[in-house]
Amino acid sequence: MVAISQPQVGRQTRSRSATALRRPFVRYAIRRVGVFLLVVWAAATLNFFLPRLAPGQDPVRARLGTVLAQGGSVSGIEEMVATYNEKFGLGEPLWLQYLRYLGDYARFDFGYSLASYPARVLDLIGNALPWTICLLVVSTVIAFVVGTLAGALLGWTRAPRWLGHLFMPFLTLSAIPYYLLGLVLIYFLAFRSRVFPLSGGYTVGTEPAWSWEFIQDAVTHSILPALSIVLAQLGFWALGMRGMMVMTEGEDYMTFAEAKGLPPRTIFFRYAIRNALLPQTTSLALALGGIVSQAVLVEVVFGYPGIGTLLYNAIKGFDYFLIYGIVFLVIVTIGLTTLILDLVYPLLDPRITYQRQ
Amino acid sequence: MTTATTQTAAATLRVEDLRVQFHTPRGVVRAVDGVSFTLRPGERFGLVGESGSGKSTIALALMRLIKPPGRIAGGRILLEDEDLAALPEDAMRSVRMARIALIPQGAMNSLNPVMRVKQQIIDGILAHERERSGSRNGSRSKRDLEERVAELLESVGLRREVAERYPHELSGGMKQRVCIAIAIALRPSIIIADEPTSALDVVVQRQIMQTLGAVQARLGASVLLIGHDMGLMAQFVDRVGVMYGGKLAEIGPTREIFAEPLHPYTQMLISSLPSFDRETSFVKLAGQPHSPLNPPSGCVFHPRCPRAFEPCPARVPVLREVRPDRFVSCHLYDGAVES
Repeated sequence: MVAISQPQVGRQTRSRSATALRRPFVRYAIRRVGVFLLVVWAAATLNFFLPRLAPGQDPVRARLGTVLAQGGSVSGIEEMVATYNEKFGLGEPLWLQYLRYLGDYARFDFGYSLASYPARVLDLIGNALPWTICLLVVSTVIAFVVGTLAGALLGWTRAPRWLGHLFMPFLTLSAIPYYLLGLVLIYFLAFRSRVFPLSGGYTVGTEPAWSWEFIQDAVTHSILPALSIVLAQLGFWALGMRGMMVMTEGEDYMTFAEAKGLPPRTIFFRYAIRNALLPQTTSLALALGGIVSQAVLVEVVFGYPGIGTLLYNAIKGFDYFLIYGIVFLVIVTIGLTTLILDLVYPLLDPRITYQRQ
Repeated sequence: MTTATTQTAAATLRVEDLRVQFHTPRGVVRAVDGVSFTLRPGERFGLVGESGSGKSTIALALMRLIKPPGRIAGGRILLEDEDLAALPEDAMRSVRMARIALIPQGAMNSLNPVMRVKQQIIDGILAHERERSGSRNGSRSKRDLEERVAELLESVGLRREVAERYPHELSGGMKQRVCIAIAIALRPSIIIADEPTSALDVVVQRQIMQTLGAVQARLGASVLLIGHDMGLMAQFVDRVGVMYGGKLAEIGPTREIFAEPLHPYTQMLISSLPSFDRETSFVKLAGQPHSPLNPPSGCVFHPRCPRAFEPCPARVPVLREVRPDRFVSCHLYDGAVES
């Protein structure tokens, strides 16, 4: 009896656990995506109402005012305002505008740019985004990898002594904002010694293309801004990781790992770094999510043709639709990276489960 | 002359005049100050003492796991005539787990939270067998290893499915059983159990000690049990060493020590135990242990000792065999030395 029933029990529990593993994940993922959509909707709503609640804001009049100040015709202003209002749908009741706005944003249609009118906001963003992603994602990832590894070694008692001297430089670097670091780099490496170009994403006069020459040119232009980001972030990642390593080294499982006679390399990577890395991952996701908003200063300093410069110019030129589009993009990227982090984190840390507690 | 270094001829582990010091900004702390004892083959030896007496430091010193600012400042740790205190780190690494295994104190946090139980047993096995065979794959396949893990888990009273679990999915007692399984995986000749049950409730404590006793008997290993619980010691160990202030006050067979403690400190310890026979009120240990930075002169116990007399503050007592297999470090027995 027992011998017959035992394998059945085993099979039942195995199949049950297999589906139980999959089902909470699906339920969790759906719920989490729902939260993401809710956040995006709420942000889009704020994005719509906040500027309209501000008193005395009329983008069309403001825009026409600048045109007039530059010596345009004075007659028929009211007609022009009415025409533009109709064209942009600003004369309609608010709720209709809101619904139309939501419908447009759901299709990633952000309308036209006010400052460079015939251009669509989406196209402007589309042209700038690859530059920002290449520059900031790559330099953030480089800073993360190098900084985390350096921090791990800084916090590792058995690391070579000389590594300890890196601590002060990292601490100093982490305290300097990267736009300031960028200015220093420009002064010495571009202005004084002319090793790198002063500014821009590529040499003025060339057309962006997928040619080897252009890519080389673009990479040369991106080295200084990338360096300023990497140097400024290195300290942040290194100090955070060092702190986590010091904490991890005091854990009982580190002593026990040594008592097992494991080689130092195994203890370093599979016990110390593996555990110390968990909070760093959260920071990385947040840093990647904040890239678009981080981009402003560094891109402006280096005259880099990315989202940051686009946003800067949009604010300068009262280009409301472009600003809305970029702000919406910022919100979506932050929401998306935290969504990915939340979905992936249980794979990194088995103590976190998809199940509701 | 009979001293602690010549306790018996047959010994698995012989500790001679072991000294561990911690160099702190306020001075040197002599956590273990000239401790000598032997661990006989298959024996269960216990070390008891209050917090700060140096018993856990001894466990770490035997594994050579003392971290700076601490260091082994002197003495020998002879494992089958090989001095572990003088061994290079690489050679010491191959001794750990394979010849001396540790069952750690913090059962709750001694396993890596992000690794499956299986992996944490296998990485220890592979670290040693790779070294021995010299090849990366060793001699055994993955299936062999997993079967071995399952057998180990079953031998400590766990189901084989536990191999797939993560530590946070196990209870405290189960985690401690996993630690025992790791400790016995390579059939070491010595198991050091550093307060293996201090984080567990009494029912689980008893089960864990039974498991430890069973695996020890099967391996024929010697066990060094470290703890502060005299009751637990009385049940488990054959011989016991009583520590005070980084020194051994007394060593002897457990029965004899409980029947007739010789050192005044041991007498205080045993009279502080609640008893069914004596209807006396609870006796508590008088006084406080001294500051480790500033130990008293002579016998470190003399400020608390009810029987202190002239030589105590002046001269440091030596651990001597005052009766067969009874070692005491106390001036009261200066005249009783058998020569």
